[in-house]
This record gives sequence, structure tokens and C-alpha cells, in this order.
Amino acid sequence: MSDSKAAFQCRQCGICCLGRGGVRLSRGEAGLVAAFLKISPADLFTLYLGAGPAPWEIRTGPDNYCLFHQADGRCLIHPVKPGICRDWPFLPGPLKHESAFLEAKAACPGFSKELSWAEFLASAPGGRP
Amino acid sequence: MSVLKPEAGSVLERPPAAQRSRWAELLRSLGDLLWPPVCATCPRALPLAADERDPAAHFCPDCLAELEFMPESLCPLCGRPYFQAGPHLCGDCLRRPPAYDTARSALVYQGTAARSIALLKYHGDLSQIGALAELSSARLAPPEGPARADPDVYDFIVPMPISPGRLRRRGFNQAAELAKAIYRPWRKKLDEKLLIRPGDGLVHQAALSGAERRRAVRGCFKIPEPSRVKGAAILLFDDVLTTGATAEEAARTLLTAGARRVDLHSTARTVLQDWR
Repeated sequence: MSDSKAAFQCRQCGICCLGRGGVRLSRGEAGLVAAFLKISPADLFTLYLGAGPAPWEIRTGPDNYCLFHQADGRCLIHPVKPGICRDWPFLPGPLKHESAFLEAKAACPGFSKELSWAEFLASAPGGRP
Repeated sequence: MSVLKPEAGSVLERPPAAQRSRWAELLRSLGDLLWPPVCATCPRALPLAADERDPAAHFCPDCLAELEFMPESLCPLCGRPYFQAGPHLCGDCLRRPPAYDTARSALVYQGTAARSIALLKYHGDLSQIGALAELSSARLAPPEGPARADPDVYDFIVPMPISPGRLRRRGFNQAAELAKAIYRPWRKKLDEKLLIRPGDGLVHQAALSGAERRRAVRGCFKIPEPSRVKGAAILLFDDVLTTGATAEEAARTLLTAGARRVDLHSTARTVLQDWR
């Protein structure tokens, strides 16, 4: 299986948007998100960023979902969402550790059921980092 | 791979106080009368003849209230606590995965746990080992610990080495002493010489920032016999995990030498203040 779409297809279940796990924006990404939302960077920090000691981290709501996660499962900032969300699940963690791949596969229904780690690596856009 | 079972008389084999022989109970009660037990981290008296597997046998109620075990909701890889409904890697592990395979700790490094470890490391109070080992065993070693932390799956249990200079000044390696007590049933797998740390140990890690620590520990570990490490599953143990820079470097050294996997255990770890 070398096609990334055959290996993984997002089901928009929102499980990857659940939890306060350190999704941070880079300076460039913050600028893009602020422009997309038509708000100032200062408002972006006030309304959406700055969870505790990580000022660039996206906050979560009372339901523990990312503040950009909407009730229908869609992302409010989908066209400009941060790299870690855009590239899921082809990220350094699952591409480096088989255990991380298995954890990601167990949590996310978007993976092909029979997908092995070797097939996941082969299907990664750009190959293994 | 050999499977070791808890040896007779080990921490895990010890029967609860109620099942011990009358003579053992009598001796213990006599000892408590002669040397009344006090809290490990304050001068308050403790109840006599308590079961030593009960944290109340080591700490007074006030100090116990300040003890915090690591929560169940963790990043499956680095073991940092965070809110999550199911298994899910944290953002840091997705972007910059650590060299080691998994990390698990027993306690949050604050309050009583921090005081107990400071008394051990900086004041040479070896009586802390028993209390810390009992608390750690409950989370890190089976039968109570999670299956993934089972020391049976490892070829070696390696305490984080300290430099000869620091060993001379301190007189003991706290990670090695704690590992001996926590993994007593698997003591044949304990190896203090698999990984060494040459140098004088004059730089105190506690005073350095995360980036400074990473620079300071680069290349600081050596493996005297790399052939023993090839293909081995290794459980690395440290007393406290803070930035993870030392553990990362130790794991990288072992993996570069050919270790099959390296997992990390620690008695305590620092966590973000607001993870709750």
C-alpha cells in the first residue's frame, strides 16, 4: 500500500481535536489564522491562544475540544490550520516509533484497518523523515 | 528471553501485615516501640506496626495529602499528563518524538515527593529510599503497575549513571539505589555498568534551562561493551524526569549502540502547572 489516501482517510470524527496536547501555532501560522478570521493578532491571542505557560498554544473549550473544532466536526480554520493538524497522521512521531503509529491507529478511525507500520511508512507523502 | 518471577521475600512477595507470622509482628512491634516511626519528610509520629506497603506507614496524613500520583490520562509516548478521552499522542511527540520508546513516572514532582527526593539526593537521607520505592512500585512494577511497564520484557534495567566525581561527593547514585529497591524481584537484570557517565559532574543540571541541559549532556554517556547492548530491550530508570534532556541523551546513546528499544521509568516527573 503506497497510496496515502488508501492508508488514511479522515472521517472527521474530531478525536484528534480532543485534548489539550500542545497544538501550537508558529508565528507565520498565527498571522495566517488571524487574517483568515479577519481579526488582529492581539485578538487571536485573547480569543483563541495562550493556554497556561504556552502562549502560542491553541486553547481548548469546556468540552476539552480545540476552540476551532465545530459541532459538525469541521475545523473553523481548515484552509489555514496549523501544520500538525494538516499533516496528521504523517507526522514525525508515528513515522519514527511503531508504538506511536499503533497508538495513533487505535485512536483514529481514519486509518485503513489492516494497515501495517511498514505500509504506513511507504505511503507517507515525502517518505520517512 | 528469560522471564523472572518475584523472588521470595521481595517487596512484591511480602504478605500483608495481617498474614505475617506472630513472631515477625512481635519483632516489628518491638522495633517500633524502641524506635518509634516518624514521617519520612517531617518530624510527626506515625502509627506503630503499620503495613510498610501502605503509604501511611511512611508519611503523616498532612504529607500524604501533598503526594500526587501521575494521572491515568497520559500521552502514550512521553507520559506527560493531559486531558484526553482515548489514547492519543501529545503535540510535542507528534512533532518531535523523543528517542526513547515510552516514559512513565509514578509521582508528580512536587510537595512531599520533591521533599523526599531532595532529602535523599542532597542530604544523604537513605531512609527515603524505602518510602519512595514503595510509592514507585505501586505504579511502575507489576502486579500493580500497568502491563506496558512490566520489567519482565526487558533484558536490562539500567539506572541513570552519575559521573565518578559526583558519585565520590554524594557517596551513592540515588537512581541506582532506588532501582535496586523498586525492581528487587528483577535484580538480576539490574546493570549499573552497561551505561556510564565519565567526567567530574561539576555542572549541576538543576541550575540549567532546557536548552542548556541539552547542550551540557551531549555525548556525556559511554557504553563500555557495545556488544551487550545490540538488540537488547532496556529499561532506563531515573529518580526525577524534568526536561527529559538527560534521559533523551542516554536513550539515544543506547539506541545508537544497537539497543532494540529503550523505555524510561522515573519515580517522579515535573509537569506543567496547569495540566489539570
